[in-house]
Amino acid sequence: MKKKGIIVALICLVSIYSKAQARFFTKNGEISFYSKAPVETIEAKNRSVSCVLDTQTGALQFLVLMKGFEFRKALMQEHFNENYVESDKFPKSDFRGEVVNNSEIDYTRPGSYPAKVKGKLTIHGETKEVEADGTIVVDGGKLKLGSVFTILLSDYKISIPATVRDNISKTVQITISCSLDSLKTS
Amino acid sequence: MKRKYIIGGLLLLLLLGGSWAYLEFNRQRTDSRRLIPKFTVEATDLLQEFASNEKRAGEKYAGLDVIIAVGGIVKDIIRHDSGSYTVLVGTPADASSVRCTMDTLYSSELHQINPGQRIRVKGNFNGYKADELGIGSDVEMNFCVLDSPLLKK
Repeated sequence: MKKKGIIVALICLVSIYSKAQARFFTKNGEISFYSKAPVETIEAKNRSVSCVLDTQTGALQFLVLMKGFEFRKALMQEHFNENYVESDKFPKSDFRGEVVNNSEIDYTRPGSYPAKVKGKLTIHGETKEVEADGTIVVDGGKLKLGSVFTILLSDYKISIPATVRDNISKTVQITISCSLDSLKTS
Repeated sequence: MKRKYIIGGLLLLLLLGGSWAYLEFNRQRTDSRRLIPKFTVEATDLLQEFASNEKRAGEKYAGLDVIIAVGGIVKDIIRHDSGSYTVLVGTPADASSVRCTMDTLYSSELHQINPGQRIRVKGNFNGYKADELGIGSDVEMNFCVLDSPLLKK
């Protein structure tokens, strides 16, 4: 009877421990975007991306403040915030979705795993279903997420004035790079 | 003769206008050191402002290139893979922080500060993230520099 009690207690402890390891997060992820047009290339990077991944369910979320995107040129940053994404009206963008092939990823074994992600991306107050391919690297208790995909600016009602149409492409390439640590629950 | 002056004047205007457009198009950010804060606030008060009424606080700090100076205790100094740094300011026991991504031009100044130390940082206010993801809420700033009066101590 005593042995059974110890076994049950151990099973409970293991399940609590593994549940505590299920969520990984960062507040220092990076998202950059790249737009190549005839006149010039526009690049910007945000180094304060929040990301949470639940390795048990595959639920994946990103949250980013639009004013956090850093451009080389001040005028570009002003146009981006004031005219294109209207960051005072729509201060945040987010993604809520899941790793579709989560069951194929062994989060306990170091390695690089291809990941298919699907979910709702919201930019400029507009929400669209998106799918993207990426990789999840399991390494020393950390998870490194990476993905590159493109979006159409018009899908998010981001309109480009005729005067700068040659400066900005209609599609933008987005690169995500996040290193996640285990979220320890107390 | 008169026509010469008119053409010359128009060419000069064109040259000046073109120069201005070129300079404006390629304008770089103002050096963070030279920026004057619109607001000076304690990190804990700033976080509390947003926690108690996010809409009102958002309206107060709305606008482009709003520079704020934030005072508080250094919770952590995070070095990113890219070589840049983020300094977390606030109450050590609290999950919420003011996250100050430092201007890469002045990263070398960070050797002067350590966790537990009181500092003041100024930079661009980017916004507030409420705790939507279950990882604490934060105010975010970038292009931050240590506020110079503090460095003289």
